[in-house]
Amino acid sequence: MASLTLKNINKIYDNNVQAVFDFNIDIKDGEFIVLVGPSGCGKSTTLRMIAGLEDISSGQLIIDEKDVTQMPAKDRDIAMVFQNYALYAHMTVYENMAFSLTLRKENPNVIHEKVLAAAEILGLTDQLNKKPRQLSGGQRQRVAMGRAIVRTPKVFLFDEPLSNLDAKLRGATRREILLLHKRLGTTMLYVTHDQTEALTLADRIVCMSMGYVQQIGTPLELYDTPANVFVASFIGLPPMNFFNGKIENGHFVCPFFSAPLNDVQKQLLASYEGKEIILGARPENIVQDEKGYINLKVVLNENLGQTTLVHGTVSGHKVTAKFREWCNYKPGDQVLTSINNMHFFDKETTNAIR
Amino acid sequence: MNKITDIKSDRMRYTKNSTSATLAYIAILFNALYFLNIYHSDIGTFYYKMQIGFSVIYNLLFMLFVFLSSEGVKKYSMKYSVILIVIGAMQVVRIFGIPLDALNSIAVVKRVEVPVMETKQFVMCVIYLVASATLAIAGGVIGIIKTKKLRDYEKTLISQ
Repeated sequence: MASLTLKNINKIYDNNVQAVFDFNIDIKDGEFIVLVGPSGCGKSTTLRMIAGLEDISSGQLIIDEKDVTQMPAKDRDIAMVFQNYALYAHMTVYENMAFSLTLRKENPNVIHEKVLAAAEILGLTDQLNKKPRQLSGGQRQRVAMGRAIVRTPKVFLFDEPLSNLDAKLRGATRREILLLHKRLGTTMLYVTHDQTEALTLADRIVCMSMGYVQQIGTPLELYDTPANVFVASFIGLPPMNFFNGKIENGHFVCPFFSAPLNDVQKQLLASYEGKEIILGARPENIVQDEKGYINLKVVLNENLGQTTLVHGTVSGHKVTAKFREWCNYKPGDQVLTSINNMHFFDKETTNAIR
Repeated sequence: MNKITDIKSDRMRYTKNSTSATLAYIAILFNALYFLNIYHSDIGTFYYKMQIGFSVIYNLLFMLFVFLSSEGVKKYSMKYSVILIVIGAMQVVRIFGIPLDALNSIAVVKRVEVPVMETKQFVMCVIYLVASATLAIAGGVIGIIKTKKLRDYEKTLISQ
């Protein structure tokens, strides 16, 4: 187990493309950190820099108070699990898991005990004599994890390990990873573009976009108090609805509706009187209200069992609402709604107004 | 998980018998050295007989069966371990075939009588064949010992 510190980490490729800008984070011993963001945001590059598979252009990487910025990958005592499993096809599960220890010339009996213990944790005991091609995707990913576990590394790195699995298996394997973390207590860094994985797995989430860290916080912090429009739109499914408007006489006024503000909101937005801001409303915060100020014209009604997703328009502006009951709206129906939790963002900086 | 009573035996459940297989591969190598030693000789017409044809076929079969046996013993097959021992023993018998025949023969080259095989070449042939035999037999014996050990261990696991 280990603590990790990334200080002003930058990655500039030979063609002068900068993939990561000033990445800073202190990761505590045993913490589960998830790097989340869209494709090309620099999350995998950051992970590869930590693993030592990419050079760090500038900045410092410290593991357990030891600067490992220039240390070769093999000496960092870090294990990485890849999206495509990276198993040796000609080796059995046992041999795949034992391989790294065999290279280290560890005692075969010790290797045997470690492999059996890892297989027991991952439920692979009955699969040890099989070749990777005889296993399902989930089992292969477990072998890849087992290969990492036997090394008892200081840090585990996961690079989109569930992306190749179908939805059902992804959910099951995600739970296994979570249980594994609880059981081993090792520091883990996990890269994904799937916000469900990020929200369910992480102690803290690092949300990235275009190489910049947008926000670091607990899943609840990112959901409840997003730092900017990007985080607000990225975290939460369906994504947040945004409306451009102005603050006028204690109301948020936009071309589609005028929403009254409560005292706390009025105080918060006092300095924005007359200025343009962005109002964010999560679909689950748009509620049916007979006295509502948003007249939602239904385009599509999606029943999800306990909830209903209603896709509609407000004067041509697309809006998605998530109602907590079973609804049967038809296209063209009008529903009066209001927003019970508003997020406000500065239009110029796109940062949250707090 | 069952308690492991004998780690060394338990390991064999998941690892191949690479020792026997490696010995078998080296046996093939020594056999190749043997036939290269014989076939590069060109002494009169001594070797132009059916015997050399059988020798070529036997060498091909030897390599095939030892290779197959190496794959078998890798997986702790008792049958292939025995085959490996038998093939190994046959290598010793081969010393009394072409090499001994050639050692005691005289060929006429350009009306001059010359020995078909010098003692030095004969000794080399014997060394290669004996080495090949020893390795194949050793591979087979180790295969039998390990296979028996593994089967006994598996029996104790079942009885647990």
